[in-house]
Amino acid sequence: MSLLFLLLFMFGSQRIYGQLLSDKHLVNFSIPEISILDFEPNNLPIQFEFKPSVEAGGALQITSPEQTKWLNYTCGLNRESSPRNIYMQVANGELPEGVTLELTVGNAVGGRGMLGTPVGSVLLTEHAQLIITGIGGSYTGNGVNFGYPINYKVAISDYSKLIESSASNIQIMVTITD
Amino acid sequence: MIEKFKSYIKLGSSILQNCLLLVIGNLGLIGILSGQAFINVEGNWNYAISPIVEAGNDFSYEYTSNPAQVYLSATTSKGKGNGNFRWSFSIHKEDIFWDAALQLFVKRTGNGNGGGFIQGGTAFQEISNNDNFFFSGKKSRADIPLQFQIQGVSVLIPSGNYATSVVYTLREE
Repeated sequence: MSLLFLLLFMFGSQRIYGQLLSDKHLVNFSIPEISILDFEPNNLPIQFEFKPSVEAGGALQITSPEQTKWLNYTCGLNRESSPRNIYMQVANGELPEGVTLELTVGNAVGGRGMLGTPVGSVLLTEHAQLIITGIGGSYTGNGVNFGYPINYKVAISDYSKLIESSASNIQIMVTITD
Repeated sequence: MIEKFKSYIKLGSSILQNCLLLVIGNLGLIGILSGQAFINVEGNWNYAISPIVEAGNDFSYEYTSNPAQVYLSATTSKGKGNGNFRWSFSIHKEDIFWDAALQLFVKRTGNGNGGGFIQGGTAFQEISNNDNFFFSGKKSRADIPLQFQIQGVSVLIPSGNYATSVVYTLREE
């Protein structure tokens, strides 16, 4: 009987020694949806200047300093979101009569993710113009030489409509939307 | 014949009594000598990333919790003696909604309260969906502080709420 007692005791003890107990807690992590963009190196104006030709019969000379702006953005979407697009337009002021403002978007430099596709060149008006399509979760990198290079070109479309003026200031607005 | 039958009944009763005593005694001794182990987890980790303020940047690659975000305890009832209470923790996660690009890490940032010893688990280790050894000790140890870290965060991961359960398993050794 003592032997049986001992065996049962040993068996019981081993069973308790090997016990497993579990407990748990939650980890919740939230990633926000985000769309943010800006121009680099800055938002300062680009100045175009019309100068008369030095040769009679020649076209007006249009000069401008270094004018490339780099469009940087970060775009974080949820699983159900449709891709984003970027639009640009003249938001304030008017182009002088007989003058056009052409915008050219180059290919993206740097960055990661679904950076979208540039449409090339568009003539800016007061109506929003699509300039980059199909942007998914992505980021361009920050600063010059990251993102999309944007160049502006002013041209005279109709000399007959040109009127002498001191200066025309126009403001360009960029919008990212779905 | 009747006497023989009575003796059989007596013998059966005696065996039954002894068995009952054995069970009671065994359970008592187990309780006294082995004690009951307990596991306890307090806290959780909820984190929401702040929006990016500079266009073109990605989110930070990693985010880290407070050093004592969760407390873990391995204790035993008095009896066998705390001294013989040797234990280890293993850890894994059970995803509720998770992205494969996100990696969750954990480490022990303190020793908690108790005697004996505690060892291991002081460097960040990834919590996978398979159970892995975390750290071990001897004697009851309460309120062991744990810190968490998530790596692999990016705007390339769809926005939303991600959740997983971190499961601790206490093994009495």
